[in-house]
Amino acid sequence: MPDHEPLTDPADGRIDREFTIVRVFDAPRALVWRAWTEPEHFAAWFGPRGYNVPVATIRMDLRPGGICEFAMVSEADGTETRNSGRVLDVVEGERLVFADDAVDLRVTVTLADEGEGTRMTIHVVGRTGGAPAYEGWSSSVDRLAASLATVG
Amino acid sequence: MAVDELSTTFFALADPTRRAMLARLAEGEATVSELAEPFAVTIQAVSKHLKVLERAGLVTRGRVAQQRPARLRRRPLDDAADWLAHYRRIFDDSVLRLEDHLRTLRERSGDA
Repeated sequence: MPDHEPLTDPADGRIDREFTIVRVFDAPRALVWRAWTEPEHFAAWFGPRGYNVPVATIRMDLRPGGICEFAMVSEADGTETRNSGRVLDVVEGERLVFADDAVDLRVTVTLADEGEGTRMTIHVVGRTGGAPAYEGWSSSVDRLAASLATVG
Repeated sequence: MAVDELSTTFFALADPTRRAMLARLAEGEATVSELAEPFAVTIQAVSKHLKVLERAGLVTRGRVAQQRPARLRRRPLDDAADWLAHYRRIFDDSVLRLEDHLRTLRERSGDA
């Protein structure tokens, strides 16, 4: 799997990073779609271990240009991390693409029938150097971190 | 590392002078005037840059009176270089939880 391997974006030559997660669920595609798109479902599963997503913090506007927002709350200390994504593409039951402009991240979720179940593919691409605030940090940070690794 | 912390790190690293200061600190601790030396900037400007780096947790300041030498903290830098791994963890954990959630839903509808 091309995991953490830097790729060159042919469009602009910038270095991208990406990863892909594939999972087959023993559940119909419509149900997996609802898990992604209905706040009460989404709240039940999204987030890293030790974090909860309160339903009240979720806003979903599932159409191109629509904004989806939610907060991840730390179970340990209540710290809240807000996330906001802009919908780039949505095909009911099949495909959901959104971008987190704050960190220049693009997430594509694809659902396909697999026997009685559903194959879910999550593809995440980080476009380093794309967000103005981080301009120039990408390769420099990699170099800096690499050089520090040899020093440290 | 929280997403907000990453944003702070990225902001701190966005400036070429601050990155150069970090590279200098990688060789060892330095006072503000030592840090200012190679750059065409004022001591005040370097102090401001140091504050940004401190807020991002990339630099700690010593307690020696007047001097307060700056020291590099590596951790946030490593996290930033590996920032996508942070998102990978979020999605990996989520997918496991989604599997559980879907199983629960299926069992519930099976009972009904």
